[in-house]
Amino acid sequence: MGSPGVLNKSYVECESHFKVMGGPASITVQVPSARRDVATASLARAQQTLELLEARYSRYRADSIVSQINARAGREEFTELDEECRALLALADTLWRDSEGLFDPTVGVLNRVWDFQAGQLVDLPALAALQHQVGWGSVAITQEGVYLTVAGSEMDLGGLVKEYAADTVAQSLREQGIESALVALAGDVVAVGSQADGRPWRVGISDPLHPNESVFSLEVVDMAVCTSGSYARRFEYEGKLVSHLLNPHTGYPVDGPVSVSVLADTALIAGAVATVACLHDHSEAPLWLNRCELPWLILDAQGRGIGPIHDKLDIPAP
Amino acid sequence: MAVTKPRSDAVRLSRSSPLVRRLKQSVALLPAYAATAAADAPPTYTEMGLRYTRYSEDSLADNQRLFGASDRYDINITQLWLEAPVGDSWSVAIDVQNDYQTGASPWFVGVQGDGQPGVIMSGASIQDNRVEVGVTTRYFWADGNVGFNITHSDEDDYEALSWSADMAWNSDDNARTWSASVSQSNDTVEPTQEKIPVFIDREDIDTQSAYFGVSQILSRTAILRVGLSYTYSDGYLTDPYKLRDKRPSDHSRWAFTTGYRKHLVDMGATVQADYRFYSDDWSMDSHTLTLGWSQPLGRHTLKPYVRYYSQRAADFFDPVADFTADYYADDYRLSAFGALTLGLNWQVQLGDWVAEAQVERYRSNNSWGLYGGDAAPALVDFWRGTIGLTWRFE
Repeated sequence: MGSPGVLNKSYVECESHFKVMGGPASITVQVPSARRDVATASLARAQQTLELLEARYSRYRADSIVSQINARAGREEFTELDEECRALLALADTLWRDSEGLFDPTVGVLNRVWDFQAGQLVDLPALAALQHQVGWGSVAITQEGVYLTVAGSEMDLGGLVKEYAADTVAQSLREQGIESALVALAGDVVAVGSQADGRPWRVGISDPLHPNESVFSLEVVDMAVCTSGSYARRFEYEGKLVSHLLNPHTGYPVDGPVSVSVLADTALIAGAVATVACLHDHSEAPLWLNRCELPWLILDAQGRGIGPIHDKLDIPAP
Repeated sequence: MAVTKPRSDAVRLSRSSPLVRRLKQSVALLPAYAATAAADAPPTYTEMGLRYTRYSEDSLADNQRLFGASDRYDINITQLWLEAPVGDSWSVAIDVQNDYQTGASPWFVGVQGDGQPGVIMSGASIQDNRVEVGVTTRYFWADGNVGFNITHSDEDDYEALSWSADMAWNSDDNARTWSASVSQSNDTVEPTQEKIPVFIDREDIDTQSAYFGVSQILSRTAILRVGLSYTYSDGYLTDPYKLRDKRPSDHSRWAFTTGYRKHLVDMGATVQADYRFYSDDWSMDSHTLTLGWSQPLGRHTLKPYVRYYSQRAADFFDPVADFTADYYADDYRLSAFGALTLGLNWQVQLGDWVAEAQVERYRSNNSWGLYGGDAAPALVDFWRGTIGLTWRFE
């Protein structure tokens, strides 16, 4: 829970660290000393919000809306959608269309035929059998709600919900009058304003080889930085180190970037663009990122970077 | 590996690409994104459209006609438009419209055997074609946009050249938009001499107008708009095809408009209410109230609407014009009346295409109005039908 620290005479910093949505979360709030109570209360509320969103969208929770949708797959039974879930599905739909099907929330069933640790396809016949269960195109979204038309198919909104959660927390901090905060849910970071003393927030980009260390740090004000990638989970397949992400069209691993960071005004947009970039192969990923016209950074396994953000960093000559 | 020094200044974002704008639009309804989705930007697509409208006035009843044809105007209207983004900050639009008009109109009002006014129609059917071409360019920045339009309209007996400039800008929280516009039109009337005599060769009309309005987002589902406009014309405002018509050579008019839209989340529908109050120095006040309901049904959207209109007569109107007065007219359009319109609009989205159809019935009657005043014979009733197709592509 909130651990206050003294920033200077007039400001205090409160931080909380916890686990949510399968990863580490940290929220930092800087407020005038007199508002310390507001800060601790807002941290508690933020954690609550994140847990609620996890409960609503986690496919590991039997009572989540996503589990409900999945349980009804192929049974011609619509699951009603509230405004929030409808908007997240609309975003998934736009991403699916714009990425020509590479981004597909129904791809998860294919994970079953791969043993990522052993680096092999464990069940080739099963891959063919499961492939017809993959395809966002067969998800029906109407006024009545959503319905997976193919029995056995499953959707997973995890990729979008974490970023949406980071934005929601940031927005609620702003509404509580907090002008300086940093919300970090694993690789998704939202800066609210600058630090209390006016300096920008510093956001570290993980070293693909040593994910607990930063290879670069970026200075940001009122902005989101999302890093997506397979740096933590890559495996060797047919002599190549490939990503754990699967191409929904083929069912095989994507030979794409190890780490992609994108800057945008919201985590949802930055995260969505970075996620889709990781689904492209090495040569296509920069094309997608340039099409989105947001600042980006691709790191290779050795921590070498390319892209507009990298070009703006003061990197000492080797 | 050593941590690299960051650049001293914070990284900044430029304008969103069309793709990012589409992503933002999908989640714009959510409170966390309400502020980021509304930034002004050119359309992300090119739009081409074609629309055909047929407007058909009911024939004049025999008991209202003294002499002449009973068939009134039919107009066939064809519209073609194209709007495209140009670079990051501009858009350009071209509109072309062709109207083909046939039929007859009231020439003057006389007194029938029973003492009631009766219309003398303009004799044989006229045929007229009007072509209008307009070009609009618009510049967008993060908080607003500004547009400039020039339009030329030409037909046998009338030519108009007009320009307008408009601007809209948003408040910092994007909840309020102010808009303003000014326009100027220079028109020339050159009546054609056919079956009925006309008494002028060539006259001019100049018109200026200005508008200021505000729209305010009241909640996530409701928006209110108010506006005020002023228009001034001077020149030959008399109708050259009417025998007993002489109008003042200037005309000032004000209009107050307001509109309310409310999205009903449970039904997925939007209700709308619009009201307009108009007042001018010919004493022709009027009220217009429009109520509509827009209901999406899958790929289809149905919008029924109803409109009520009522106006006061111009102070120089008489059912049978008194041409000894300074100004006089027997034009039914200047009389006191009320009118009711019922309409239904249907749209269907088919991929990048939108097809639409609309049908509208308009009826008017002296006794339906809010203001008293003598009834004009030859009040008009009409049908209007429209079909259209719009294509959007990147």
